[in-house]
Amino acid sequence: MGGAVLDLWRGVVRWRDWSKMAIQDIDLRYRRSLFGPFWISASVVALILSLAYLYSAIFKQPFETYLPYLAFGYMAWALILGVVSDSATSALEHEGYLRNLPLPLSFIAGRIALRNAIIFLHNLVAVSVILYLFGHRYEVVALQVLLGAWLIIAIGYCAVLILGPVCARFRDVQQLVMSAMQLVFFLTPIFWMPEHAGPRSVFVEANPFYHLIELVRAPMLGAPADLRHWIFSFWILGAAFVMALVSVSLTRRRVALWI
Amino acid sequence: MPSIIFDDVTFSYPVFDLTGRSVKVSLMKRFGGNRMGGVAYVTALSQVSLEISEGDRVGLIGRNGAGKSTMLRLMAGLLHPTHGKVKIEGRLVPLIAKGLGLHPELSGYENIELPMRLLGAKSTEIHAAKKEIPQWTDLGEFIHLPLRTYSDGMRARLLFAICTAVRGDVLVMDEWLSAGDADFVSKAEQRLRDMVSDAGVVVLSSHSMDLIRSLCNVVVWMEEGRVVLVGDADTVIRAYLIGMQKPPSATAAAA
Repeated sequence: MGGAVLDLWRGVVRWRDWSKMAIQDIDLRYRRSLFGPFWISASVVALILSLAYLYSAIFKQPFETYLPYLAFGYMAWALILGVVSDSATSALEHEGYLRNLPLPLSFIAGRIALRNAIIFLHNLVAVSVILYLFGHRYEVVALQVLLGAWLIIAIGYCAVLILGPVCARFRDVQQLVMSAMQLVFFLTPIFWMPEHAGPRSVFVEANPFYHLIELVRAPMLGAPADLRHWIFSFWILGAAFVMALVSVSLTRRRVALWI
Repeated sequence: MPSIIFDDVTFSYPVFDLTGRSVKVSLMKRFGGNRMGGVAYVTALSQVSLEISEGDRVGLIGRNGAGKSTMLRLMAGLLHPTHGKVKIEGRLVPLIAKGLGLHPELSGYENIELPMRLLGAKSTEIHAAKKEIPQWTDLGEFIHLPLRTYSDGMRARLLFAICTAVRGDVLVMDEWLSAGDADFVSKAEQRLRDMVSDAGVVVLSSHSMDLIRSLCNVVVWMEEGRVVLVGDADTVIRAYLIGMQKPPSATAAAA
């Protein structure tokens, strides 16, 4: 286990290097498009506006309150999905690096976490501005979203260390993870609201993704996230961290042989 | 003091077939009583002991598949021995693969920083390299154009300059001095010589006996995962060239 901690540390101290990588990722993503960064946010905004318009009618919700509910829930989900799918492909995507440079997987986790954090913050600014134009107003508590997003990203960092090696060793796990995420998407209150579940509310309360999403969504809607969401989410982070340590100590010497 | 010590190192690696790659199949086999199907082990290095100390310029020679790359990867900490111990002292620069961290959309100049960072360069070294590389490579205006517009020769020059801009105590290089015109090769050898003389320990594998002769003072001949002969360049290269005419198993058995 001491080796695993050392491995994590060796990745952390090279933060300048993986930050450079993450910033370059973002730069390259936007470089060749005319509107630059706003092009990608524009597609998110278009999706949110059209879905909110239709689904507010389906769920018989007033558009003004349903729009921000859907918008910020969807953004939290996009962040979670981003880190999970990047985690599943992390080791294989970095095959050349892991085979030829003495980089710990935590180095790659840093790159993935930072890259997703930048994309999320960027979309958050764009969507918040658009919603303001649609009449949505923010409270000071909205700043809590930063803590919530940080928590999700910290869990994502652990997810790279857990899923990366497993998906490299067993090639069918990646598909398994992605199908599971699709299922979770429909089981989680993003389009629908927790009270819609009625007697099936166990699907909501026992769903870790619901609690994570609330950390982002609730403050943006003007109320701090309920304490139980925070408690649940910190438990997830703790469990993910322990699993990440176990995963690193079992696989750190072998990942290069699996890719 | 920079040094590399191999103490009775054996390395074997798993080769998976398709079923060994599937978690479903592996789980079924496990519960069916047949543990871990679909995996075979290949021994790439067996019982190698070697001591390389400060001032040694070591050339690794041997046929393809003799274990040269495995040895370099063990030195670079990319692989870990199955048995035995590998001990490295000093700041290590692993020049194993070409072009890691390069991006075709970025200009030559923008492409300097990340590959160097990945090799472990410090900010001051990167700063110096950004001044020196545009000159050394003679790329002119191309240095500010995207890498995808470069010819193979230009690309090779840039890549070589980036890799050789990092200084370390222990230099581990897999064969990669190639491409480029004759002009470049002589220029490159000079730069390589400078880099090698700055480092405390150098290990490089190559099929070019001329390169080995001009850079190395110790040569290690490998065959089928074993060290056949260690000695000064001329002696080992002569024995190797004679040995090459026999099948590999004969020379390995003689070791």
